Amino acid sequence: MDTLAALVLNGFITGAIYAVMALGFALIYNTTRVFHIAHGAVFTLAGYGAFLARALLPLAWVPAVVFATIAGILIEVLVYAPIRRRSGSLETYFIASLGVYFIVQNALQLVFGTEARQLRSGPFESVSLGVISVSYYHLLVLLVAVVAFTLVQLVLTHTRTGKAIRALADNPGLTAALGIDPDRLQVVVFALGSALAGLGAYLLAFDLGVRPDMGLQILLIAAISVILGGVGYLPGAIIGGFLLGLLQSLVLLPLSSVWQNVVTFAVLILVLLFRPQGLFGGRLVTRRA
Amino acid sequence: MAIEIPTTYLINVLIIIEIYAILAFSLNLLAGYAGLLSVAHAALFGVGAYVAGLVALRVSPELLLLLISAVVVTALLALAIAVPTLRLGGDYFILATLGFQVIITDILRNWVDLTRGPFGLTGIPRARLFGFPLASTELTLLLVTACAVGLFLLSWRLVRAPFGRVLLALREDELATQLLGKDLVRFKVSIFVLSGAMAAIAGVLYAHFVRSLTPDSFPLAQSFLLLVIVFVGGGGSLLGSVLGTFLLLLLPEIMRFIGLPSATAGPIQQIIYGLVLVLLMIFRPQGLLGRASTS
Repeated sequence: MDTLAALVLNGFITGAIYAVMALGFALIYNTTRVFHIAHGAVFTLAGYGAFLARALLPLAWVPAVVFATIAGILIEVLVYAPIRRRSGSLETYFIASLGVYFIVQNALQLVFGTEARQLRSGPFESVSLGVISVSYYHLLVLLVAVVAFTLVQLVLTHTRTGKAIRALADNPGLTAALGIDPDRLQVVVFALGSALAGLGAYLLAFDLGVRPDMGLQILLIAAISVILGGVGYLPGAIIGGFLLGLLQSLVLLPLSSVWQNVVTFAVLILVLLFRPQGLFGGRLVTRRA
Repeated sequence: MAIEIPTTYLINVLIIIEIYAILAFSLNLLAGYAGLLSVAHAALFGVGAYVAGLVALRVSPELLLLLISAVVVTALLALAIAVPTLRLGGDYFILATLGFQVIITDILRNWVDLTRGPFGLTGIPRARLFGFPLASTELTLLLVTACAVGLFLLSWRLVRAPFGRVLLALREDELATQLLGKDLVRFKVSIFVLSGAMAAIAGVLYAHFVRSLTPDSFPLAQSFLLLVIVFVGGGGSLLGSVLGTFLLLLLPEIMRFIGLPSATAGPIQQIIYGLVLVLLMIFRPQGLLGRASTS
């Protein structure tokens, strides 16, 4: 029973980090339809931002978010926007994004080496709540996740820019016809999505440290979360993130951890085969994803 | 000052380049011609190599047997991947094949009874042709060259046949191709299986040449590298894939001769790959020898 409770708690906490990352990926993917592999690079870069500021760990999220936001904006402006101007195909974006990922991962490897670097040492202080013990790290993750989701929700529903972003995701052609400049808006979307990646990187690095190759795995998880929840439906990405976190954790009950990736990708393939619109897509999304 | 380059070293590099060239132009049939970006090519290559390694170790290292078993197993696996995933469009297809890449390599790593897990297969005997051992490096070069040239000519004929024109049409405009009465799924599945079978042959050659395999010989990064080779050379250009293989595989060899320590050379090489990719996609998305898409 204790094991189960601990696994659920761990899965929930990991899921919260996945959800933050997935929401950022979904914002960008829904709006621009760029399969943004380099989002993983943005994530890694942000992790190292937090690493550099590890002396002041409670505030290390600031450089993480700043690094991520700047990196996201630069990738959009320097790489995707020129490709968009030449109306590049889907694979053009994909390959270019992959190129950016290679550059960042290996540049970080040159500077910091391949091994994992920790931001802190020692176990977390925790309080016991019946069968499970909750650490201040768990509370930090939940706090940051809730704040992030609330902020994004407020931006999307209560600001002019946020409404325009939703309009762009829904119907790009019509948005342009309304006199909203999609180029400027896309920069905002990349900034917002990347800032979320920065927060996610801070949370993950806080516990597990940073490695130059940490980004790809988490990017794939974010993409799977988005598909699981349903492309085009932002809360779906959040739920998808939590579901994946729980799944990866509960898989440890019957199986060894070496099978975690197999299970994760098997779920992806099953969802793609039997419910490509995602668990919550279709019902709530009016437009074809 | 002349630099001495030992002949065996050159032959070894050439063998590896030819094996990669087979992988590259077979992936090009899929990614460049049909517009299906598979990220599972390294995994199929790996399965071919493992089947060949296991058969050589446990049954017999007879080349024809190795080729047949590797091609049959890999083609069946490719068929099993193709039938469900090829219904998916664009990004979903990429992600699904990526999923298969991860699953297949994780199975190779963790199905310890069959594959010996992370230790991999070692001491794989050299292949024999009708009992005659292909033991020397020169004979290996001959074998690999024969396969590479043969498969290249096969692919060359294929893309010039009506089949190839349908593939190109498919990339340009799926709907119009469908309206011409072409059974899209059948075309896509055939090319996926064919491309996988070629990767399996490359795998047989690889197992014969290096004689030891680990799951880490076929990582996701290798699938990415193959896509890089295809798109640097030019999607829809078989010669481009060969050129791309030479360029991208000679780069690390050249860097070794410059004398960079490998801890630095690896990342610098990857950064150069990345930069080349990004610049190509911005300024010449069709690659070095590719034809620009007409759409």
